[in-house]
Amino acid sequence: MDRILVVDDDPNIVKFVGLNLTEAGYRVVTANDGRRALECLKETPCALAVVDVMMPFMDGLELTKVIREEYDIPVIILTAKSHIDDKADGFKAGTDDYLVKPFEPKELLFRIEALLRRYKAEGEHDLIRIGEVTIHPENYSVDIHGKIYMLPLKEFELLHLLAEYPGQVFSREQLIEQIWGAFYEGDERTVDVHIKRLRTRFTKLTDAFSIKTVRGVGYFLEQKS
Amino acid sequence: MKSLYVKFVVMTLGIMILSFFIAFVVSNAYYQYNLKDSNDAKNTEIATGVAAFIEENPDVSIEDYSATIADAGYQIYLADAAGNTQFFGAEFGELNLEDEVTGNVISGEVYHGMANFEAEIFVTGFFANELSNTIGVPVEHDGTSYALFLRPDINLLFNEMHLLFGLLFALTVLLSIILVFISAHFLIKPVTKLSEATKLLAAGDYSIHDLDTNRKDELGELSSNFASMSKQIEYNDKIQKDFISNISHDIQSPLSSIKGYNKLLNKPLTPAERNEYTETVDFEIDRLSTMTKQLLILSSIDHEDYLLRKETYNLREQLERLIKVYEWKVNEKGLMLSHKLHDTEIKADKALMNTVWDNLLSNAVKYNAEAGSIDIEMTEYKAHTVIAISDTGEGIDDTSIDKIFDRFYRVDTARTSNVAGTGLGLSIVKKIIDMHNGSINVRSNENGTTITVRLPLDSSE
Repeated sequence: MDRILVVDDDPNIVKFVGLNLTEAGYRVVTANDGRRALECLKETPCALAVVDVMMPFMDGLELTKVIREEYDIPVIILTAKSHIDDKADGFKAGTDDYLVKPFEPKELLFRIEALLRRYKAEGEHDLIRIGEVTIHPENYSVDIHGKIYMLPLKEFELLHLLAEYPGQVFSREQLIEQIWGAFYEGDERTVDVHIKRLRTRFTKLTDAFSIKTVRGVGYFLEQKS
Repeated sequence: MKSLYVKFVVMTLGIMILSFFIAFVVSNAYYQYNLKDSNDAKNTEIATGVAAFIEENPDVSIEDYSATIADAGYQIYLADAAGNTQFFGAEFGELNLEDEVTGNVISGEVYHGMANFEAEIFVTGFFANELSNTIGVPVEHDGTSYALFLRPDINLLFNEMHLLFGLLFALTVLLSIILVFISAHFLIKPVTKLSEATKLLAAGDYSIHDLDTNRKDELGELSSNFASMSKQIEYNDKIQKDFISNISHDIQSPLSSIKGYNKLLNKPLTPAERNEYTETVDFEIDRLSTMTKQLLILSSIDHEDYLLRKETYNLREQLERLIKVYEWKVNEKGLMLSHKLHDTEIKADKALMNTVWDNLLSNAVKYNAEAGSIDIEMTEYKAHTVIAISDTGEGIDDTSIDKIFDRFYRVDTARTSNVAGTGLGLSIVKKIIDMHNGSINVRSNENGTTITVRLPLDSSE
C-alpha cells in the first residue's frame, strides 16, 4: 500500500489523520514542520503529501512549491481558512487539491484515493471511446457531446470494466471481485443495483451502447455501430 | 395649530401691505416718468384757455371769472406786479411758491410747476395740493399784468371716488382675512390629522384610516405617502418580529436536541448507540454553525450600502472548482453530476457568487433522490449568461414555491428531518443575485427542480 506524508504543526491533527490513514491501509510518515517534511521525503519516498498551510519555519505553500519542483507526487493542502483567496494561493503554489478544516476523515480518504488514481492513470492514455461516448478513467468522468458526466465511483468502475471489453460477458462474482474487492461482504445484488442505475442513466443520454443481461450468467456491454 | 392660523392671517395681511406699497411706488414712478408731462400739458392748455378768455373779454371781471372757473373744480391763485394776491376755490395745502416765479410769470413766462414738481417715492405729484404744483400763465386785464396759477381741485373732483375706493379697499382687506381663516381651516385639517397619525404610529398603532388620501394636491400626496409608509413600517416590523422568533426557534431546537443527546451519552450505551448519538450531536452543531455563518452573510449584505467587490473572472473556473469541492458529497450520495460549461468572463463579486453556487449546489445534493443526478447547464447570450442547476429530488409543490426565497422558510417543515437546512440559503442567493441585477427562477415538478440564474456579464451596467 502507498506511503503518505502528513505534515502539520498540530500534533492532534497529525495523530487523527495518521490514525484514519492507517485504518484505511496506508503507511504513514509524519512531520511537524516544512523542513522536517523535506528531510522525511529524502529518506523515505512517499506517494502523496497532506500539508497544513499554517506552519512554523516553512509554511505549507512554500513546502508545496518545493515538493512540486523536486518530487513528482500529488499534494493536498489543509487550510483552516475558507476564504477563496487562500484557495487560489494554494492552487498557485501547485497543490492538486485542498480541504478546509474541519473536514471529515472520509472525505480526505476519498480525495487521497482519487489523486493517487489520477497520478497512476496519467501517461497510460487508456481512455475508451464507444461512438460518441468517451470514458476518462483519470477523473472518473464520461464525455458525451462535450458534456461531462461525473459518476459515483463504483458505477464508473463497473462501466469502465464493461466498456474495456465490449461484448465480453462478466459474471456477478467476477464483477464483485474486480470492483468491490475479494473481501467484499455484501450481496451480489449490489451488482444488479449498480447495473440498473447505469442503464437508467445512459439510456436517456446515448444509444452508442447498452448493457445487456445474460440470464443466469452475468452482464456485457453491447456496442452499437 | 392656532399659531398656523395666525401665521396664515398675518402672512396674508403682510402680503397685501407689501403688494400695496410696491404697487404704489411703481405706479407713482409711472406717473412721474410718463403721466406727469401729459398732465402738465393738459393743464397748461386749460390755463392758457382761461388766460385767453380773460384777455379777449375785458368786460368780464377777472375775479368773477376766476371764481366761476374755481367753482368748476379748480384752485386758482392770482397775483399782480404790485404784490396783491387772491385765492379762488379750495385752499392750497402749502403756499410754497417763490416770489421770483410770480415775477417771471407776470413778465410773460409760463410756469410748469406740475412737470417740474419734485419726484419723491411716497408722494404722488398728482395729489400734492401745493401751490408750487400748479401751472402759471401771464394774463393781461385792464392794463394790469397778472400771474394766474391753476391746478385741478382733486378733492372736489374725486371726493366720492375716494370714498368708493376706500370702502372697496377696506372690504377687500376684511374679506381676505375672513376667507383666509376659512381656507386655512381646510388646509390645516389634513395636517392636523397627519400629526395625530404620527403620534399613533409612534405609539405602535399602524391602523391609519381617516387620512384624506383622495385630495389631488400635495397634501393628498403627503397623506397617501404617509399611509403607504405606515403600511411599509408595519410590514417591516412584522418581518423583524418573525425573523427574531424564527432565529430563536432555529437556535433553540438544535440546542435542545444537543442537550438531550448529551444526557443520553452519560448513560451506559452500546458502541453503536454511542456512535449514533455523537453523530446526531455533530449534525446539530454543524447546522448551528452553518446558520450563524449565513446570518453573518445576510446581515452584511442587508446593508444597503454594502460594497460589492466586483472583479472580472472566469465563471467556468469558479464552477469547476466548486464542483470539485462537491465531488465527495456527490459521490457519497451516489449521485451523477453532469455539466457543460463555457469559458465566460463575468464581472461580479467573486466571493458572493461563490456563496450563490455553493448554496444552490448544496441544495441540489441535499434534496436529491438516492442515485439521482445533478445537471449544471450554462447558456451564453450576448450580454448575459444563464446557469441552470437541476436535481432529481421530489420537487417543490406550488404553494411552497413562492415562499422558498423567504427567510427561514423550509419546504420540509419537519425540522427533525435529516437534512441540515436553515431556511436561509435561498434568501441569501436571491439577495446576491438581485444585487448583481440578475434574476432567479424556479421550476419544479415531481421529477425534480431546476433553478435558473440569469446574470448580466457586467453587472455594473
